Amino acid sequence: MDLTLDAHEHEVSKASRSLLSQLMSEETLRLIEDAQNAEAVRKVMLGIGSGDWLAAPDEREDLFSRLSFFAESGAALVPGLASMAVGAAMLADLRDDEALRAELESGTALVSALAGYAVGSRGPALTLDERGPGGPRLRGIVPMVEFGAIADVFFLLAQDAVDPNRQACVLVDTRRPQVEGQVERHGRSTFGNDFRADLHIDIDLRPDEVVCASDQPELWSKSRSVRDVIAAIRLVECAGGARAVTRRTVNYVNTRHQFGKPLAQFQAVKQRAANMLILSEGAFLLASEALAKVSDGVPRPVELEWAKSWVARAYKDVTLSAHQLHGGMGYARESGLFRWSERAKLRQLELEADVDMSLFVNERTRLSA
Amino acid sequence: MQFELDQRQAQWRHELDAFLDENVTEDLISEIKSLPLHHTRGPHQDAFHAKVVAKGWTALTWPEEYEGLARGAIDLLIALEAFGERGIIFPRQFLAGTIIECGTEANKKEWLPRMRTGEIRLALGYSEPDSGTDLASLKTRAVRDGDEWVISGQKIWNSGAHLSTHEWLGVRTNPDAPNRAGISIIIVPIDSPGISIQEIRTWGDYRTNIIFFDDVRVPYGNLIGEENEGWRYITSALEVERVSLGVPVASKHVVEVIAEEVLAADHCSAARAETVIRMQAEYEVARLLAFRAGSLVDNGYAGSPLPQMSKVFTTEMRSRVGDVGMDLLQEKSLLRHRTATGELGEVEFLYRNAPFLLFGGGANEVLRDILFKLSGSRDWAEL
Repeated sequence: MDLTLDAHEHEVSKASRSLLSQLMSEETLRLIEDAQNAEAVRKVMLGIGSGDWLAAPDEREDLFSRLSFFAESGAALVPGLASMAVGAAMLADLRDDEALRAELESGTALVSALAGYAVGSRGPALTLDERGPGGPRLRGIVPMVEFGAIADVFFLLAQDAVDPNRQACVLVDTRRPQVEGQVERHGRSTFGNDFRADLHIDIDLRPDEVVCASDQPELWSKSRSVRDVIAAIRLVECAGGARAVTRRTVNYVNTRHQFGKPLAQFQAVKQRAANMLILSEGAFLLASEALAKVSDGVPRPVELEWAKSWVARAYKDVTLSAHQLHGGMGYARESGLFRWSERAKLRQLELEADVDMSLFVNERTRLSA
Repeated sequence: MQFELDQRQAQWRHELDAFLDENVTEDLISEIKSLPLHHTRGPHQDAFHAKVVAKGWTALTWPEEYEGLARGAIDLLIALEAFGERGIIFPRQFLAGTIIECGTEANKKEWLPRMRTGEIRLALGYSEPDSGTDLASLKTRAVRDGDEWVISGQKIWNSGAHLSTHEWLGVRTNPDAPNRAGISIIIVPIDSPGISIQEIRTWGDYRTNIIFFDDVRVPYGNLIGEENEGWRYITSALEVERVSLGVPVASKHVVEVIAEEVLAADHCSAARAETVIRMQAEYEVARLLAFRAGSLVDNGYAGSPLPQMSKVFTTEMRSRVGDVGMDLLQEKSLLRHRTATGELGEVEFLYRNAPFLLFGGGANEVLRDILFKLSGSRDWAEL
């Protein structure tokens, strides 16, 4: 047990700084975050998809370190994009889809992976009926799919139409002529500005577009681990974001003067800032522990579920305190603070709803020995 | 970062568990559970303590030159967890660290060997009726008279005075100096003529005391370190010892009791399950903060805000566990500690004794001020 960063982790963090500046400019960031510019998103995805971002599993911790740094640096949307890219790559590999992999790496396909709201805990919103002569039929409405308004390809979860105990992971490629026009996207401006849309689906899939099902234990377990990886990246986003907001706030209260002295000399301010420091440190540790377990391939790690229940809420609380301490200066959109605030609340809602209750209620998981 | 114990640490934990398996007997547990809390100590506890002394563990973190085992902060945390999970407090005398850091060689020779064996047990004599958080305003007076000190005054919240052999006393030796500058530390045998002790019973069932000093005489050599340097000693402790402030293990069992009661119920609503899961998550955060504090110390990074963060978070987490735990258990939470069938009484007990640590061991508001200041000393996130 050693909860300090080792030399390799330091190197990765340093390398991330130059990668961020290559990946996007402030202008690109604004285009994505404020103007919902799909082309700007594609450009960033090109950067994410290239080279070593879509890392082999044993390099995944490095990826996570980078993403934490990105979240800290203010590119709040980037980890979300990256989680999609990583999840998509893992699912493409699951079905040995070299063509899709190549599209991901070249940035020619934007893929949304398992991104319906509370995808796990509430059960799939789609039904899959494999009985018909025309092949598997997929129907239903998936609410609030991240990047739903702009993605080309979706990996989604579906409930078997006949067997209540069977679920499947399916691929929906909206570029396929038979599919195009049959997936209705009801997009609108949503909290968090990540191009969400409800997907109204009523399509015939090809058999190979049913990626795997729950009656295929090994494949299903691998698809489950994709969800864990995506969640772990989002937790890392939360931890990085909480640190970024806290650091920014501490700097602000140390430099902003009122009543002839820095805000930081008022005890109420110090107390509130101290709470932010504690929450962001706790969030970093619990998110790091969760990602360590996921990276080590631990199946259904309880630490991941604990982190889902706590980390994003801590992030959210940090952002609300930041607004209080920044006052009007932080409330203005120009400050950019709102970017983190929306991401924090969004992640809190999403991750808390995704906690695997069965681990605790049915399997009675308790604190580790 | 490594979240699992490495081989050496795992072996240490195994050694501790083996010792506890052998020596934590039913008689010992019965004795602990039956005696009034912090009021007395029984023969089984004394025998157990002797065995811990024989292992050298009461001096776990002391330097080897003082017959210590020179172990680090993580090893201390592992020991605290191992003992705590059995309901036993790991015996140590954290004031030894101050003597090691700040005492004279004569102080170390005089006190450390007998502190290691437990022959000397120190009670902390700092707070006074008018000097709590503002400790620097203390008034208990020590006047030099030849080769003796003459001490007059009183201390309050002197927990353990009735179980200890000596007082570690903060006294004013220079009334003309500004507050912090005129304070010294003197060790005073509690059986000295002129000392009287009055019991205070607390809401949390703990016994604490007022202790009165009426012209008590002790040898001049009982002064620790230098005269009028006491404030520095009060605020010092071995860095490795600070990390123990935030170990949450004492509340682990209560979290489990609540989880078992709520999650195993016939109809556990999602809202109730979420609350319990979040309680478990907070316990894990508290644990990680303590181990992060220990990791920084063991890697040579002194002066981090982590011990303060850890203490604040853990003590407030405990308070929430008691509070929310009672909400979840509803009428079952009214069963009194030690009269309840089963362990549900632990919840109301935690609710009553959690408030103490929010101001004891350093008021959390003061610690927040300190950690805010320390957070700026370097970029701790880089470590």
